[in-house]
Amino acid sequence: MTRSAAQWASPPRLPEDHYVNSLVYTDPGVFAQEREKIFARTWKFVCHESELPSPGDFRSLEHAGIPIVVVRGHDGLVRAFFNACSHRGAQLVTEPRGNARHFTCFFHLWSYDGMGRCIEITREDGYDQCGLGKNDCGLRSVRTAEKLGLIFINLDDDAPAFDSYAGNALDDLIEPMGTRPMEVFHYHRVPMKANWKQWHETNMELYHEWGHVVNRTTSVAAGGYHERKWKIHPNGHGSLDPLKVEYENYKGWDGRQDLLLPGLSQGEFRVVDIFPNTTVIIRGTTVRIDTSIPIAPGITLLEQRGLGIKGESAEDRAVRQEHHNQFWGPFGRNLAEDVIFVEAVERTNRHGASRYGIIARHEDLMSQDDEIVRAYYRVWGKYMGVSAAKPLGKGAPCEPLLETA
Amino acid sequence: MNNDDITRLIYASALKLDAEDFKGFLRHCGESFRYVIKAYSPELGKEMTWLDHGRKGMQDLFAMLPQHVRMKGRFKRHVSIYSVELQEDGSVKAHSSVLLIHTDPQGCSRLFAAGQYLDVIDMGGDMPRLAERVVQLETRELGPGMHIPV
Repeated sequence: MTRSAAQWASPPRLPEDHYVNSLVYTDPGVFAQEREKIFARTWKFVCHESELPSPGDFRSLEHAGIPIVVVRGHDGLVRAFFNACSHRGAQLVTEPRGNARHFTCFFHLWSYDGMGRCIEITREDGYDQCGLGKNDCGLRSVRTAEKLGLIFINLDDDAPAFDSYAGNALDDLIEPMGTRPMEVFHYHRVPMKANWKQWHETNMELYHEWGHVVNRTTSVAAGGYHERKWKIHPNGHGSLDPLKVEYENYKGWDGRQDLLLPGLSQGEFRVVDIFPNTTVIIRGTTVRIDTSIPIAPGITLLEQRGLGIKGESAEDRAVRQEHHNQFWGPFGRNLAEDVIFVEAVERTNRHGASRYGIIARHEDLMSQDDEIVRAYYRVWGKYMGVSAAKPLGKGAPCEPLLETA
Repeated sequence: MNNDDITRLIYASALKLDAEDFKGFLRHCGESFRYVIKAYSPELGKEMTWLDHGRKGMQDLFAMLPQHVRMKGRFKRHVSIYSVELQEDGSVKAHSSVLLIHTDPQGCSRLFAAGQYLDVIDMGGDMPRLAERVVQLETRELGPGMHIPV
């Protein structure tokens, strides 16, 4: 039976945490609030420690609209700073990666060391009259934390420590990622016409695995798929009991019995979701790290990394890369489909053709239970001070009139 | 070596891919054909391999394509051959530029990827055939990604 306009516009007859108003994906005000209330306050994955192997190595990125530089100091510690000169604000580092003993601004040649201290002010005596010196001009430091080679930053000096924030959520990664040194061998970005949360949902809402032929055949059809359970961790994180994926069910693929990461059995799959927008997925021999850079409500830059064992032979690396590329990377059989899925949703959300997303499946926390998504949005709501069902607040109208392009 | 034969092979194989005539494409490839897509990551300072298949791997990939969700529209390859060089072993190396243009179902075309073909061509049979194609991509942001060869 179809629905009239009024029926269609009414919120679903479901508990409030069982659906999401599409304004959480499209409203510019919600997006601005997310930057301020979530991204400026939570721990954000920025890179893997192997991307900064030597003293002076740096990576630059953008987080919550802020240019950031992450650098390994000559004391071996990883630090992060706003990537902005203290003088007139020019971006200090303009390359995505590199090695530098000092950072010298190309505008007026002020310099900073790897600990963020200002070490050179051009013709400094010109500031004597006003009493400004190098000690007043250090870079804005950003808190960093490292866990299992994953480097996180937090813009909030008062936020809880990373270990307290993450709790036990990363435990499933300890053996496979913490036993032997790993390194990133794959990096690519996907500019997506979709909201950043939509992508993170694809790593929690596994009901959509029916849409991927590769997941249908190798995972959903595998023994035990529907028996494993989600663990809902505090602070919006989640992890899923392991599964033995049957890769050989897909034409031409092997079963991934060799080159397994430490602690894993043949074809073993693990996933850990870290609030707000990072996911680590392990597929037996290789690891994918997802994170995203929200650009606008409907524009997201997705970052994808693939990891293998540091120092392994070229032959082993080639096998691991092949396994990575079967699912992931721009030519993988899974990744592109997820992007196409979420962009299709964004097209209907954009001007109100879809008003509500339903997250109402209950399966006793098993694979395709939506509780992991509901738990995520409950935490999102705590940060935002509104529910995902009524993201503009209780008194505000939650459903806009249909807009035209 | 007849340069026209090499030119015909490279252009004909591009046309087969444009038409998604994958069996036709493989007829231009030798039995030990290898197809690789690479890109350099400035973020990592490393060369990356994004696809690496032998002939069997390509056949399996093509066989599964109809079951996958893919970008709608068509891809067109614009290929310009830079050089063709006969090797001591009798094979030929050809170096080409390739531009991959995507046209969506509404008819909007845009440049999707830029790169180079580094081909090794086997001249030993009844006709020249691709023994190896390495696609070196300059473009690293490939929209959603794709399931077919560049």
